[in-house]
Amino acid sequence: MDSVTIPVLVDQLVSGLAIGGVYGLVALGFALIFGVLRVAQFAHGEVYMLVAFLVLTALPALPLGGFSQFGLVLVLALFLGAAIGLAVERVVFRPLMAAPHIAAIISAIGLSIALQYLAAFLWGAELHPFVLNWAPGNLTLGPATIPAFKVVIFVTALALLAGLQLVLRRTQLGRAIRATASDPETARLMGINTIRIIAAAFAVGSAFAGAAGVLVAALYGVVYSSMGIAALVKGYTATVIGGVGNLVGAVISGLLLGVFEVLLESYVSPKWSDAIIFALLIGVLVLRPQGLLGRAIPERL
Amino acid sequence: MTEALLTVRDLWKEFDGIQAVRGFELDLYPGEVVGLIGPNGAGKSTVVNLLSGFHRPSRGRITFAGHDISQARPDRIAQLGLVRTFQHIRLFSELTVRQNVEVAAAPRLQISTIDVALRTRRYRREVERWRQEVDELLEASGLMAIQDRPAGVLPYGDQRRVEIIRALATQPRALLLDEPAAGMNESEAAALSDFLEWAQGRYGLSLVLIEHHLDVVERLCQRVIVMDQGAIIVSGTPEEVTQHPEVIRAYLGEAA
Amino acid sequence: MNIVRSRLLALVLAAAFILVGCDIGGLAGAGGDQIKIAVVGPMSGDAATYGQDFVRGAQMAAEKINAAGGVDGKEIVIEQFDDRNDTTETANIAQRIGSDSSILASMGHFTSSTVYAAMPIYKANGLPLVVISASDPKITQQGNEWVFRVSPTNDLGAQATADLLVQQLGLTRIATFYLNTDFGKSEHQYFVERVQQNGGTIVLDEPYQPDTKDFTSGIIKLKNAGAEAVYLSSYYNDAALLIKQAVASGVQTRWFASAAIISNQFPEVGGEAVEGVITARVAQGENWEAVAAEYRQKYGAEPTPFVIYAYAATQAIAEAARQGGATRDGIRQGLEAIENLDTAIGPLSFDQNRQAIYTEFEFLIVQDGQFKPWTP
Repeated sequence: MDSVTIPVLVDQLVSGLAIGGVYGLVALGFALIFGVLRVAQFAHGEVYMLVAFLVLTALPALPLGGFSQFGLVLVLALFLGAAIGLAVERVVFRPLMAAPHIAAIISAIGLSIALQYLAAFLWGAELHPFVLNWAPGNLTLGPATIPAFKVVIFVTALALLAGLQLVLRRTQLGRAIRATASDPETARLMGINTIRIIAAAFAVGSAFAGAAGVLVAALYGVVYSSMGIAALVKGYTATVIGGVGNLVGAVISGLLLGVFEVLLESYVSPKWSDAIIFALLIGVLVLRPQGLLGRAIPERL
Repeated sequence: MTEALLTVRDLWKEFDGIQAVRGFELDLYPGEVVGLIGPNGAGKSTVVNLLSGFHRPSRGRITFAGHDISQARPDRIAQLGLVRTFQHIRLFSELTVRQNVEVAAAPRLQISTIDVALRTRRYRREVERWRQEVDELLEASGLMAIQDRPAGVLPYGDQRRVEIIRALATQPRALLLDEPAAGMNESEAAALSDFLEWAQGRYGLSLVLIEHHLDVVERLCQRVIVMDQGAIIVSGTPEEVTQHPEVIRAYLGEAA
Repeated sequence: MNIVRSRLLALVLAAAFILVGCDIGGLAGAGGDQIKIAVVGPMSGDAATYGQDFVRGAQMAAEKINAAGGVDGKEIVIEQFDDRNDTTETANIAQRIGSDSSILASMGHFTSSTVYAAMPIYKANGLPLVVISASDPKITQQGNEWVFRVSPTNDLGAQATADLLVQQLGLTRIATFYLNTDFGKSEHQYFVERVQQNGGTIVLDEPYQPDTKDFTSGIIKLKNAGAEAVYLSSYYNDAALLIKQAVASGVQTRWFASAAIISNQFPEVGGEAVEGVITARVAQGENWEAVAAEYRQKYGAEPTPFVIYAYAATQAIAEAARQGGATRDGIRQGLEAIENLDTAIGPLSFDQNRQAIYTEFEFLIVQDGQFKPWTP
């Protein structure tokens, strides 16, 4: 095994936190939607993919360069994500609200596949390079030199997550979302328009997916039609480990998952890292269905 | 005589061949408090579930404030002003006490998105009124001191009170309370009675109260309906009912 | 709702008719005046461009041969099949091809893994397969008399690059990344052995899984490995992403890679980061250039080597049918007999293992977004 030095470890941790921040964004959106709808949005990854493609297409038309381009791309991604999320809710989920959950889950899986084919049809199935004209270079952190962009991704992810926490805790909409997530039936009895709340959760959750999509596209330098699957799998894993319905838990476990993954790939083997993570996921599902960081879900009538 | 707010006629509910409710009838007048008692499994909770739209009746007709709600969805019934609480407490446990109440009071705010964005005078007035409503409820229920604690971690009695004031915050015309004093000791139950009496007078509410604490029932209710095995066996004033031989045999006798 | 439903139904029916129509067309032509060749590869998914290259190369050759009168008056017909670059699907598809008696020869299966999955099925069905891309040398060392290969093996290019690095350029501390598949592992092994024979040191030996998009952990190791050069046993997508991410992370080194990166997609995906990347390939003569020019004119793009190999394979099969007769076994015997046949890759001969013989190599470098000839 290679020797572990401080610079290497710092590099690994920062890389893990950057990708973990992205997992956290995806997981948070997924958990938010699941919370109010009680149905897994299995096409969440495709929202992330579509936004990355749309931004890629819009990129040549964006007038700015440097950091302002990055900012503009992020804002655009948030808006596109929200718009796609609202459309998905309206077209796929709302008509099935009264139907059994399994119908909505199957529709979501179908939508996921359909959107992948749509993207492959519109843009082609190959990899598409995604390059921002902003290259923040390297950052010296003590003895370690790390790509500054990874820090930017981590900070961006944290800022978005903190912003959402603020909205959820301080605004009426946020409280209504949390009330609906806590008990949709009672929320309805309190006169909360849960249909609007669900739409709002889709908009916010999908906006986060969109932001995650462009961050990953910029980090890996590439966009492709099947990129949503990996994102959904990691986001789903983070949600389950964090405890379904526990938004803060989803973020923390997203970050931990990112770091864990880099360490596994580095010190165990890239061959086994996915297998180990899935084993962990299954273990959590079986042994602690409320998640490692979650509280027990109270039994309901 | 004024018209009944809630009218129930010949209400039946069958689950898999078992008649859970058999021919239930009720006239609930504005401001009236009716107690619903009977042994476990008598069908009391099923009646509440039927009235609040959680179950559909097999037969019969329920009218509330002039609307036929026999087949209505729970949220529609709640909007009309017939609100229930649950035997098992269902709070938004992640939200604070105050937020639980605010969430329930918010849908009645008379403001638009524009008002919110521009912070118009109407917005400030409405939000002020809303704060006062919430303050008043918290004050009267004695929950003001713990308003910022997450509802999920409170002791049982406090959670009960939060649930009731949250229901009150929707400004109902009638409340269906499913065993609000369950699990409370004498003094807690007495405090709850004080609070319900105040709320009933303050908002001119009609109440249907399912309760095992007979002192609560005797103190609050003008009328009591006794059920056993899905059917009404007797109804009348608390005094009449508690002296009725069949009640003593079927219910009180058992408890004694 | 009803309108939508009936329109959908109409669409599905139309699609079904088109598919059925195609099939009927295919069957109707399966008479004795045709030599039908199956071209199999990834026609969908990530690697679909390779499958497209196969079909284009084979089609171009078939058109040329047919225009010149075909094979003794028989027309060459190309029929494409999608194995999705998946070993399970490959087994199904190979069986379908093998049991279609109108097909006299097959070419393709992109990777060594899929070729291995398909080989026994072709043998069982007595159908000749010409491999046109898979580069594991052991494929033609299995004693399977139905499998031929016109494309070069990866040991040749890997060894040529190892000689270049250590002997000519004097770069002795070398890091390697390799795709963890039959192709990557075997190419990588030939490279490492030759580097060590030449006295060089492998300072990093890093496998990665197919479909990897995040090379972070390997790049961090590379940053701290003190390598003078990196060699990638990779396809274009992986190689382009790996180099791009490494450069973005501040890695400064010299990059070399397997010939499998030769594709327009490589500079397309890699952008500026892949400028200066060097690869070795078999030397390309006049015939190669002629086919490439025709391809450029037709498709407005630079052909990958797989276009040329598919072209040459089609030429070889046509000649084999001429010599051995238009039957499956006739073509197999005809292929075995080929000696210095004039094809797109130059004079084609097979060794005793039915592997095309290559002797000359040349190096390419990425410059201004294109592969250009390079001499050390």
